[in-house]
Amino acid sequence: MLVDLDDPIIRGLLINLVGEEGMNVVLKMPDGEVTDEEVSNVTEVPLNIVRRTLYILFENRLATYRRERNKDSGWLTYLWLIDISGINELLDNEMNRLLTNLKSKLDFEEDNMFYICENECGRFVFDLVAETEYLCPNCGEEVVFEENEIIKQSLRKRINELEDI
Amino acid sequence: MVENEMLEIINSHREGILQSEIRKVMGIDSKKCSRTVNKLMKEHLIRREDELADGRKTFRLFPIGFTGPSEKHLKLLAGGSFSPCTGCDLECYPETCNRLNAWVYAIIEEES
Repeated sequence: MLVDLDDPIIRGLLINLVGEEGMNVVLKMPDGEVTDEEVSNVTEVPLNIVRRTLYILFENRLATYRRERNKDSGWLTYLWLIDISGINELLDNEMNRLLTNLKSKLDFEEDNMFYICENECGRFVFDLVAETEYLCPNCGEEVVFEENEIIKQSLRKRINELEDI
Repeated sequence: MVENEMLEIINSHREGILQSEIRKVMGIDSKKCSRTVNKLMKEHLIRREDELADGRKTFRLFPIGFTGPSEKHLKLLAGGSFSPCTGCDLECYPETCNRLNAWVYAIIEEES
């Protein structure tokens, strides 16, 4: 199966899952089944990062492993294989997760009024700043009202797009 | 080889590419283009669908065996950044999450 690892969607997903160093493991992973130590040697990524990466990929069904027992020593060897062919299913799940979270955020935006601190300390709901007399709970600077209509519009649009799919 | 060059171009277009377009990109005549397409189809490396372009019948060529995102998955991106919910191990409060908030601002920026 061909997978374009330069694709911005695939790259974005993998970096969010395994980080930049983990992405190096994916990009330089040798062909066929390999041990984690071999992966570490070939990719020059520390063994603990390689193990973490492979485990995360396995949890997300993007990698598989096979155990092989050495007849003499009785030791088990784990042979890993990255298989990204099921990535679309994972992307679909991530779309559902995002949709659920955006809906929660939209409800919150619709039910509240927001104030922001000009020192960029954050965004606060009306109830909170009413208690602090419209002063930032963090730095004490005065807070200003934030019109959130554009946020609500963008959320509704993206939610509709995700729901239509 | 012409076959390899064509296959590479088709594989980089998951949404497909018009046969007339690939001919122009590769700078080959329609006869050569058609032969190469047939060869790749026989080897089950690509598939094609009928399409009308500027009122003329042509074909759209698609890669076979390409495992990758489709157009719908572009909605996971905002301003080039991927959904912050993926891989997030923080306790989930989407209402007040700073990462999600920044991502929503990226949508707004993208749309403006």
